[in-house]
Amino acid sequence: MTQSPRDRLTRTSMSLAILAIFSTLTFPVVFPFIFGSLSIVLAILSKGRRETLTSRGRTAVWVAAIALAINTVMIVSSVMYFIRVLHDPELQEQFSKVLYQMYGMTFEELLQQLGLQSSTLSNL
Amino acid sequence: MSAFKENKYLKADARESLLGNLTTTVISIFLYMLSTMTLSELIANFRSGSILISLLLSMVVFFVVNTCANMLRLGLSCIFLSLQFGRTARIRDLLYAFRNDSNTAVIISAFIAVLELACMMPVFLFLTFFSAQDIPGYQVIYLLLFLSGLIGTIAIRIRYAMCSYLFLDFSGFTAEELIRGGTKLIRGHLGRLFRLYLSFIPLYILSVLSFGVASLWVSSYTHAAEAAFYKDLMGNTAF
Repeated sequence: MTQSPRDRLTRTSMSLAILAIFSTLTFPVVFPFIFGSLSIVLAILSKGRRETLTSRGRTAVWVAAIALAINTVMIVSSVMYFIRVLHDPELQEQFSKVLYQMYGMTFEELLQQLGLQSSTLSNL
Repeated sequence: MSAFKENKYLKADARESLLGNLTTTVISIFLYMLSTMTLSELIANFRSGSILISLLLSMVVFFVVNTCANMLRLGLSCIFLSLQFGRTARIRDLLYAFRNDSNTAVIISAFIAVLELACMMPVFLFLTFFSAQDIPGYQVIYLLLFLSGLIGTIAIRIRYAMCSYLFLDFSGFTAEELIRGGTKLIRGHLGRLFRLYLSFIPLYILSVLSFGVASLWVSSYTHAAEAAFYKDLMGNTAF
């Protein structure tokens, strides 16, 4: 059975929304933004002349919006945690330990490798 | 009551025309963006020994590049207008202005390019004759000049937006007649078209979030809405 262009577009939008949620959990930051935004745009385009979205289109928009929201919260909380690490010596030590266990380098070494100084970053 | 459609109905018409044709429009928009970006690189990498020659040549290159970009825009208008009238659109229609009635197309494109150049002239002069060491607040002045140039360019784009569609519909007319007709047609509807463009801002924010990927679809939607606007305008105006 052949699908109408509207159904095809809605299905693509739904698939992208699922990919957005999946990538939020596996490859956060870049991919959820791409898939999520694209899913919302395609869902809107799938409306055609109708005033409202189909139920599948609405689900796609919600799933994509949730993926975008989770991704944004993850980025913001990571940045805030990083700023806290810079200002709290105790937390910095803990972070450094975990970093050393995982990657074999301390926090200071990591900053050095990135060409940064903790004193400069403390002003954040 | 106004006979003209509200923006939400124009957008609905645009979406309907895109259903089943998104592959063609997205590829066309991609090719258009790729060509304009490649051409823009010519301006960015254009340097010469003498300041005046550098300025003159970069202005000439800007003019030529924008004329070519406007010719491609005529092709894009052809694609979206075809879809609006339920006709088949082909990717090769992107080069429509280079193949059909190209003299008129070049004059219209060059005319718009000259106006765009006039808007951007202060930026060119500022970049050529001043450097960051010369004056304090260099970046702020540059930003202000660039923004004013950009606003001017947008105003020109809106004012002459209908010329490209008239060029497609009235092939026997001269460039001057089409430009005059375009400005006459849009008179009294500039605000409506501007609001139509503004209504796409949320979708363009999503495009930015998607690192520009979604802009291919959003641009298709914007162009289709512009074509729907033209169709509505022609349907309700004695031209």
